[in-house]
Amino acid sequence: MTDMLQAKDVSVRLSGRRVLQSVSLTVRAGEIVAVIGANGAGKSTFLKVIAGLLIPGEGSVSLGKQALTALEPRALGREIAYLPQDRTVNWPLSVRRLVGLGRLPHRAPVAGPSAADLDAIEKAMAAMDVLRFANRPVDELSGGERARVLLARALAQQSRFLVADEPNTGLDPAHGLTLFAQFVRMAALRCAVIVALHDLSLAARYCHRVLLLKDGSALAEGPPRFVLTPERLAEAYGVRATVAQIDGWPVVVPIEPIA
Amino acid sequence: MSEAVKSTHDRTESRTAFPVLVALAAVAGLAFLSSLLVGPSGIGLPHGSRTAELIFTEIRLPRAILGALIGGALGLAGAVLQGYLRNPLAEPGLLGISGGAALGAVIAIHSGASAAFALALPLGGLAGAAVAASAIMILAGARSGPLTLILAGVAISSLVGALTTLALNLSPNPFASVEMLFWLLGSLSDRSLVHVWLAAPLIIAGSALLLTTGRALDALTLGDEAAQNLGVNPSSLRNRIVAGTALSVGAATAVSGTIGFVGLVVPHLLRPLVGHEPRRLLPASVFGGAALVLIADVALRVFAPLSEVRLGVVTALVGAPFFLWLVIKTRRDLGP
Amino acid sequence: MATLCGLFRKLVLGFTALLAAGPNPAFSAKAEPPQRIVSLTVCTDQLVLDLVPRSRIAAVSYLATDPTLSLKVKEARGLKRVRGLAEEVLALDPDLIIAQEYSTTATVNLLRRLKYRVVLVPLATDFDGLRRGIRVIARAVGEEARGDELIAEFDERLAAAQPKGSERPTAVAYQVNSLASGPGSLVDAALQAAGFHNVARDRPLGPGGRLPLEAIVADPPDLVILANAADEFRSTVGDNLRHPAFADVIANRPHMQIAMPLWLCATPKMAEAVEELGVMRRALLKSGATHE
Repeated sequence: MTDMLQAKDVSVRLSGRRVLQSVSLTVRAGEIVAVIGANGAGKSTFLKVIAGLLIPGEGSVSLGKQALTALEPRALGREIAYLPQDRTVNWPLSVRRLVGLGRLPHRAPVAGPSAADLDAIEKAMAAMDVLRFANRPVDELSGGERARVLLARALAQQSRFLVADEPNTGLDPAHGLTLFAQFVRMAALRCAVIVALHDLSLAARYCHRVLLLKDGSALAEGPPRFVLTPERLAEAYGVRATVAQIDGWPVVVPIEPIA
Repeated sequence: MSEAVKSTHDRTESRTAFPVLVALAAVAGLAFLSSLLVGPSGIGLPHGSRTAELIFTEIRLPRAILGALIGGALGLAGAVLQGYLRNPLAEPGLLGISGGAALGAVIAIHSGASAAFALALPLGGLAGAAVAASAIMILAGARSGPLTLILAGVAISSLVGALTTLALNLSPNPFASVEMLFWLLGSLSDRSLVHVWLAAPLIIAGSALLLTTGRALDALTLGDEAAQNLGVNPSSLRNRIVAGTALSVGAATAVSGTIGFVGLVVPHLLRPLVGHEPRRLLPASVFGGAALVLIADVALRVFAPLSEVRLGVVTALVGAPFFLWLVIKTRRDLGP
Repeated sequence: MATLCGLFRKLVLGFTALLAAGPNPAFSAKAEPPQRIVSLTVCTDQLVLDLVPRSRIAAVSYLATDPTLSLKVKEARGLKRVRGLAEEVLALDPDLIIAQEYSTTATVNLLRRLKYRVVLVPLATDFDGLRRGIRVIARAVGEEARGDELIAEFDERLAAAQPKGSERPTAVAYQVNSLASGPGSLVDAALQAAGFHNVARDRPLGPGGRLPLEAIVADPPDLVILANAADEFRSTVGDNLRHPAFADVIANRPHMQIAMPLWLCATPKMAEAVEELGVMRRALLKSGATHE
């Protein structure tokens, strides 16, 4: 069943360097999973592998029973949406057109956008609160607004799985929260979200499970309260941190680097 | 949001696209007609005698058809390359294919083959284009992305450019040098229907290939990875671009010599008119390129009928002020 | 390298000759000689003007009235001049078109495709080539007798200008861009016929026939012949002729200028160049200012 995206013992070498070593992760529909770790721990690479953009040297990724490598690019794009960390937009398209790019995996070769396409685009723009910019060229927007537009593109793909690399960077606190509120809605609709994050409090609050990477290997994986402990954080980040509860929500506060 | 409002939005966008395309097609059509009306024997449609018919069908018509095909091919290839490289300063010559075609033609002149055998010149050009295209594919390798492709293209360009200069240098006699030089400057004069039959199928096939890249180029707006996620197959895209350019630009150069600036200027100018969307720029650039080459060819026949001003020179004269204007505009946009 | 290129060219020419289709127009027998002849290059212009009356010439090239290139400026005046585009030529309804090898290939091909009779005259590299060129045109225009006359006159003048004595003073024919005509050129043939030794034969000339200035200054030949006046070209191509070292050579030694049109084209007028050279040779030998 395509309710499950599974990475098994994935290893990747880039330019001779081992970037990922035997990392496994299973994500089921309805889950929000965070991938965390220090800079250079291999988060972005792992996300690319699980989105099917990078073929691992060892190990495999499968969607249900099918290996990702067996899917042709458009079919893959309909199942998994990928949002890169790089926010570059090469041409100043209008917001609507940019979000519309998310429908490319669905569109028939020579046809114009269908009613379903137009509907998906509108919904995605509404969800990310960028409807009011719909006809403006994207280069006129601020960094945070542009980030939301790019997210809307991924949402417009209406895929079951969303893989996002640090999607909340540059978003103001309100929009960061609405972003995760959107993820929660998607999870409720039997979608799954895999995000790389630096904001550990957000991970603690919203994610069902957390994968903690250190130097390319999985240090821990499980529910936030098991992974986000001061000991684990010290080992992974080299930082002394406090995990507290405020208003019932878990909060992770880094205190100081460990010498 | 209500159905009415949202479909109006999308229709508004396509409503601005369609008229632009129609307008460009109209300009190109007018330019084509003007091209049929202009020539040394007088302005107006030649009619009346058998000679006049001959002039129309065998001299003016092929010239106009070639002008449209070549201009369209160059404009399209320029738009595709600018979209692929995400760089508004890219142009078809970057892949080294037009350089290869030029070298092939120059060798045909140098060796005397073009004097002995009428089709030797364009066939030499086609052979040169094919060799350059294979060379760039081999050099760039199976997994190459845009950057590697361009590096390979620049390497090939430099090599064929050097070899062309060598052929000029070692020319067997001054007349051959002049012929080579003049051919390199680009011209449509005295091309026949034979050139049309030779070049048209290749240009059309190549252009068709290039037109299929529109969606992939749109997806590339977001970068290589997001594009892949949206369904772009990078090697299929690259192969289509190299093959399409080799067929269309290779055939165009083989028949008319090097006509520069069209592939650079046309997409650049038309981009704002199509909302900067790479896919919509493609058909616009076909019409725009055809219009530019046809107008330049008409201009040189009207204003300098008896001099040897070559078409490639006229398009270069258009290109230079364009860049001046671009610099001035950029400085103004960036503020004092 | 040059011989490799030459070999390659011969191979390609041979191969393409196999592929070239169509009868050779020069040999088609025509009942009436052509009445509307169009010549497309300045060299063929002059030969056509020599061979046929003006009434049979529909047009000559636009360079026919350029005095720096043509010897038949007066004769060409009043005739229609063409740039060489097919459309122009067609409008004249010609029955014969004469052009030179290596010129306006696209136009020639187009005209042939439209079934017009085009005769291409090969480039002459020596006096035999010059005679052959005259014969080709003469046959095409149907004036073979007149052509033979021209050749006979030419040969007579050459015989009269035959050098007396076996001395061969050295000479070089120097042009802009340091071009010196070496073996395989009409200039060289003229120098030989006039009894000079062309120093360009002694040296391996670079591509395009360049002779470095130093060679001339170091070992000046007995006679330096200029095809262009020193101030005729104001660009860098004329620098060699304006160079002080060269001026020095010229100032103190015998030199002469022979007008470019006299030896640009392979016409019978080349005999005049040979005659002028012969006069100079006699003067040199008399004054004893020679190498030997």
